[in-house]
Amino acid sequence: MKAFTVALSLVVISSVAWAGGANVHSLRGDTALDAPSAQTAAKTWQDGEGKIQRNYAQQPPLVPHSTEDLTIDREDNSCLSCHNWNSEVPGATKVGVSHFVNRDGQALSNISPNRYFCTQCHVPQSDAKPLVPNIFKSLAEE
Amino acid sequence: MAISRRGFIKSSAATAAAASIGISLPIVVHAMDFDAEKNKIRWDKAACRFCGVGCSILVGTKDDRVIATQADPKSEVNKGINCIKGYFLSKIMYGKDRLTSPMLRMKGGRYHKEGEFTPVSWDVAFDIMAEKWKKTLKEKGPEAVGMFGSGQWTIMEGYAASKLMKAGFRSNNIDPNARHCMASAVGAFMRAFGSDEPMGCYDDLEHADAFVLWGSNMAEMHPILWTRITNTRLSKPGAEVHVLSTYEHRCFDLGDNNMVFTPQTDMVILNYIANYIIQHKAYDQKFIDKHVNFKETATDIGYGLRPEHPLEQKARNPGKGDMSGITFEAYAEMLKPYTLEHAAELSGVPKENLLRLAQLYADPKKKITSLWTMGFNQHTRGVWTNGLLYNIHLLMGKISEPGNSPFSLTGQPSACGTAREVGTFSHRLPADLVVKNKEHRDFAESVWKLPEGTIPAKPGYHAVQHNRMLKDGVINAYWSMCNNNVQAAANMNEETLPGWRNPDNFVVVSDPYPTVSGMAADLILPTAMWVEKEGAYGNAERRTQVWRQQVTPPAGAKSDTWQLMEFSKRFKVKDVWPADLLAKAPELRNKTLYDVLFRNGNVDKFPAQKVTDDRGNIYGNEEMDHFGFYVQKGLFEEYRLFGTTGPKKGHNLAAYDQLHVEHGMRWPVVDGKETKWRYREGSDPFVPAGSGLYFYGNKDGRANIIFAPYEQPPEMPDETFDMWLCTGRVLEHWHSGTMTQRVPELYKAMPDAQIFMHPEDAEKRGFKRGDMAKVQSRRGEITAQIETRGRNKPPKGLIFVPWFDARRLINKVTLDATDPLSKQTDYKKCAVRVVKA
Repeated sequence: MKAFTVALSLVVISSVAWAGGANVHSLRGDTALDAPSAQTAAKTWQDGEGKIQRNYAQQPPLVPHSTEDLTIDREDNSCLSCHNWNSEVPGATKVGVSHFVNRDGQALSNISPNRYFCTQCHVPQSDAKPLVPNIFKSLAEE
Repeated sequence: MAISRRGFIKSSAATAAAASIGISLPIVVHAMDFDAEKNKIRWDKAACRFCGVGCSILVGTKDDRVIATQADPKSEVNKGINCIKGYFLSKIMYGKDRLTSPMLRMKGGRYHKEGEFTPVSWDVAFDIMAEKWKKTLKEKGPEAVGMFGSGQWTIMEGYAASKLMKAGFRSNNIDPNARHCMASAVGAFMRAFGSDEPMGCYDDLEHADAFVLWGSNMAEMHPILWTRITNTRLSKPGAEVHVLSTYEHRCFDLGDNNMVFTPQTDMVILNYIANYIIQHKAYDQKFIDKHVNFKETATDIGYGLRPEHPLEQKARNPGKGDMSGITFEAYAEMLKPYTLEHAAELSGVPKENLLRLAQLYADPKKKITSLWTMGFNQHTRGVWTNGLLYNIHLLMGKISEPGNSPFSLTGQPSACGTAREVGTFSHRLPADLVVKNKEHRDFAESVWKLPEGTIPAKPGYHAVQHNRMLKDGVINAYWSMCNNNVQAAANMNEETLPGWRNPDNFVVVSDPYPTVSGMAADLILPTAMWVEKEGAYGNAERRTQVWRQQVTPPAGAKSDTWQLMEFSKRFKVKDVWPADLLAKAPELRNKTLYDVLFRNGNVDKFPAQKVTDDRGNIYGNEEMDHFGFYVQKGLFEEYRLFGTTGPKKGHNLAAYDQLHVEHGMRWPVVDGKETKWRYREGSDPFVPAGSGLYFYGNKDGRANIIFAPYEQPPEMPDETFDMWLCTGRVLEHWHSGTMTQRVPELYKAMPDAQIFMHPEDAEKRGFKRGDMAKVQSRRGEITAQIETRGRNKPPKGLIFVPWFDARRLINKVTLDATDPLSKQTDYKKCAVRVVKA
């Protein structure tokens, strides 16, 4: 596991002015609008804990590891060294066939250039605890 | 293929067990899982809720809930691809803290400015609102009410709001958050071409040989257009990408010529390129002779600060946009100081990079698409700077044809469709009309069937002025819809918060979620969002897209249209209009604003009907059920009259019914056919035969090259505040994070706003990566973590902090200086220091 932040424990100073009261909170929680910024806890990228379940078939898979040391530029794409269709790295999710079709619908022998920057759709996940729950239900959960 | 519930539970238990020992098991699918009824998802098209790219997506629903979203393969914009935000649209409506009841600040059972938010009925909410509005209108008149709107409003919502404010309450104090985002682009379009919005379209991204990014991080902010540029760059021989920015970002990963320049010196670089073109006689003489005028603009125009600010006092021509005609020779002379040496010295960009860029523009064989967003627009000389780029394209005749395209990108899903085209700005009316023009007001009043003189001629307060006028107690009744301006507006501590919390003011916020703005308000109205209502958006390439209501909103939440129309029922015309206007139409006296504005024979023209698609699906429509007629169609078709019969040509939108069928159409749409390149014969039906190209927005059919000099920004780093602060967005979050911070996957991918800083700057101040630090300006401070290895790599002397994070509000730090012409805030430049927390 790779830590990308360092924990700090500081006292949160909260003022009562312009907080919402008991019934309603913004993403600031109890912190008033004119109070100092909230603290942020140490966060770690999920890494080595196995694949992350998709919510629906059309969702791009999330990245179950840190991507901090990977580079994608006009010369190289280091993600593909594990994830290309012909890679032999065990456990690495292979690029889907949708990625071998270009904008005009032509099937290609290699990944389509409009799919080259993986990070536009695939993101890693930190261990940050969501600020508010989300009650979306996938078909599988219904 | 679906997995049955039992199968899912079994397989997820197995997966969890397998994951714990580091292997993965196949998921078993049983034959019974193919039950057709059980697996049936209804897919229907909608426009993405986020940025101005305007991707089309397919919304999957089952049992009145969105259960999936995917990219629309039939969409010309995105052809089956979304960005990470687009793929998670399915979750934006399901944050657990959706508001379902109006919340009023109360103490002792009554409204109280310092009370606690308490649930009340819609009736009670509208009672207190109407009371405050009526009192304000009676005591101080229409200039004391205001509305803050949105480039995220649907077209019909923006139109209904604008009508209610400008014709109902007779106040032009309505302005959208698009003022923060697109106003400079609009100003420059009007000055150069006499008509708003780009001449080109996204097809240019496949036709161009070279792309130049001027202050636009498309890789994160317009990801799908970036996939198209990447596609062209990697697959077309000779294609190249040039990137200019004040810090290194993800677009540099594709760039062939990357340039980091000192803030504000983009103006110097642009004038250098124009100078280079003239010195090397590379310009297109025939094009210039036939299509171009030369002008200069008034200089030393101030910074849009409060008039008593020393910088405004010092300016010779504060706020002046006067232009005067000059000769080509005079223009060439004005450009002479902008040499390669001068440009390199001021900008800090090496000479060879600048020269390569100038040579690219000057090469008549290269098709160039230039793209920009907030780097140009959020700029105290934004209108000028937009114009300086048009100058280059016009000198070379590289415009309005496939691949040759100066293209202004937009930030919001309907900044173009709603804010600009509907004209929800304080000075505008639909289809490029303006309130100060009598002929334009007359036309609007005739469409709206209202007496002459209903619409006030004086432009209202613009967005930045709203907060100042709230603070000064000039505006007292204020309604903010579909945005989060307390988080978004600059200088929160000195202007926004004191304005909203001024005891003389009553402030209402309509939003699906409790936002920072909601917390600063007195009344919060729970609002239906996105596909919980039928709607339409217009994207950056003039494409209008319509969607049907896909699911029922949560009980208690109502759409903006419903709120606006219901509120209008609370006012009799005689209560809000003056005697002289009432005398012109005495029959309207006892009617409500609702009767006059929305039951006028246009808006209520289309009776209630079943909304269906060609596959036999039936869709809900809350507003049609409630008001008894097809509200969205009526509003849209009345609005469309401005484009089809109005005084400014070339603004024709497609018919509403056609838009339900098509996956978006680009205006002007004539005889059911869209326009890809405006002003170009053969593509734009308004260009006279034989003229080839005609800039018909201007009376003489010519575009204006407008000289403007480099002028300094209002605040620069000094000994006390020694760094530049640039703010902006990130890929995973959209704007103030109201929706995306509530999607767990997006939140976990980018949980906190960080301070992106050069490693040597961090070291000099004793920071390690991950340390907490304070960013301080003359106006306020925030605390965040230092990031020295992130996706943004600022040069020494500059930090970047995104504004999505409600828990660290960077707009406490920013300066509310604006472009004095467009009134758009410069969020990209102010002076700060970074100290230990």
